[in-house]
Amino acid sequence: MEENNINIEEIMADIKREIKEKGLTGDMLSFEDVPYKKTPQAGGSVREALDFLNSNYNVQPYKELKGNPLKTGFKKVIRKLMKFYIEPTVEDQNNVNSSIVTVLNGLAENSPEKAISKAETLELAQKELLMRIEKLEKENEELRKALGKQENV
Amino acid sequence: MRIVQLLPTLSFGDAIGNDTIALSGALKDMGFKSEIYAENIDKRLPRGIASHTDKLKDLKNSDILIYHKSTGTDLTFKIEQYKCRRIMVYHNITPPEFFRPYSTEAAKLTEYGYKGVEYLRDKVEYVLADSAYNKNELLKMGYTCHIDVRPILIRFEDYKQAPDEAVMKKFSDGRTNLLFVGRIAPNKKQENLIRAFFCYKKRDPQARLILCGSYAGMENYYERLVKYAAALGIGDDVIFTGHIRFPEILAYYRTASAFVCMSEHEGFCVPLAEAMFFDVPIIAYDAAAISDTLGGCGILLDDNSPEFVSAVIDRTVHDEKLREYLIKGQRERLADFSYERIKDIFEKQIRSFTEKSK
Repeated sequence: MEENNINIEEIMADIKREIKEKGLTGDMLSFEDVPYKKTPQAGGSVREALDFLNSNYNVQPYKELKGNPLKTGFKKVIRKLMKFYIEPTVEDQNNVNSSIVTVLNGLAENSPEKAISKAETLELAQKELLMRIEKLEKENEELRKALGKQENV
Repeated sequence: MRIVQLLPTLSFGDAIGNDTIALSGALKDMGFKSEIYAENIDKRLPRGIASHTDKLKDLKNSDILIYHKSTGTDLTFKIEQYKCRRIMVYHNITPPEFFRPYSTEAAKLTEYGYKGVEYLRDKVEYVLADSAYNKNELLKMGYTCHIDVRPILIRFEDYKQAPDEAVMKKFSDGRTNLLFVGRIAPNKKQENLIRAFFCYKKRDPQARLILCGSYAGMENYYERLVKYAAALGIGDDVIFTGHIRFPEILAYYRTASAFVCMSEHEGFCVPLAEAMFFDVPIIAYDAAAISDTLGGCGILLDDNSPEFVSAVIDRTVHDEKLREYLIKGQRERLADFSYERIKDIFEKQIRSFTEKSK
């Protein structure tokens, strides 16, 4: 990796040395501290379950038919024969689902979760600011010490 | 002899779709009867370029089926019905662990993808892997058939199109533009780019970080990244473009000061080759197939700590000699991905495979 006096390995080593000498640590808020919507497998919350219900409560009686035209045609015939039974049942189910979701949304409106979400964002920003203050205080103290030493000299 | 390529989805403009179409052209040039079959064919593609898998019939024992593997699909498990010689082109699958916290669907799909790779272990005679990393992954999974490496075919001609004027104008303002192109996905570790950018902003307060790519299906991860950038106080300078048009992507490359990649899983990483094409110096964390694709060019990092990455970016952006050196190396590496070269490699591999049957 050496050409025209450029050596990448050397540059990398120089940069690492400089970071060590200056004591640069890159302290900052961790990504792990940022809350997010977890999947049910990762322990999703009630809020996420409610979001899912809101977008999926209306069930469609039929799926799109794909593939072999012969098979698709056959399925279409079956679908037409079953229509009298499937459609009213799905409609009844959708009415029930819709009522349940309305009730759940009403309950959720009164929950403190919305306020919690805003508070979480503020808390994160505060955490980051506290880290910066702590760092500045440290630097301030070091500068004071250095100034004291100079005055003594 | 008939050589057919099979894949679940033939998309317009994506890496695998382009590779499939280019390989089909190469096979025709070699004198084979070449066809493409897919379950889903993008309507933007020219009519007749591919047929539905239902139409794939009458394969003889001497014919060859090339199956492109990159995701979880039922099609994988139907491959035995094709009584002919079978080759797999392995583009890699992102490990499900990355997706589990954010998308159950993506985690299940990739898990199913790996089950498919295991299933194919004794169903294919020969494998073409996009990178040495992909080859090693298959060897670890117990593949015993012959595996060769053949980089993906990229249509660099497309990159010569005019870039989007509005993006060019907006981002050619003298500020440093750090670019990463790729889906917003947990394996690509965009949070590490944000961390490095947070440190870099102290050195170059006017800089921007542009994360170019769709977040469809990864909304939970995307929202977390947005929150993170906002909490760090750099939300205004971290730009998520979302899904954008091709001329806009070209404009982002043309206005980029450096291409920074912190991805921890890539089977090839086409954007690296794209950055080479646009003479954008590359800084990338050494993980998965990244070092294979860079092949010694760019800056390969052995450490992704934000202070270190930001210092390397600073040096790359401001040291003219280093930039020239990196661009020169990248241009040399880019020649390895030229259509003629990859076509030549592919031709030798296919000829050698067909001759083995004689």
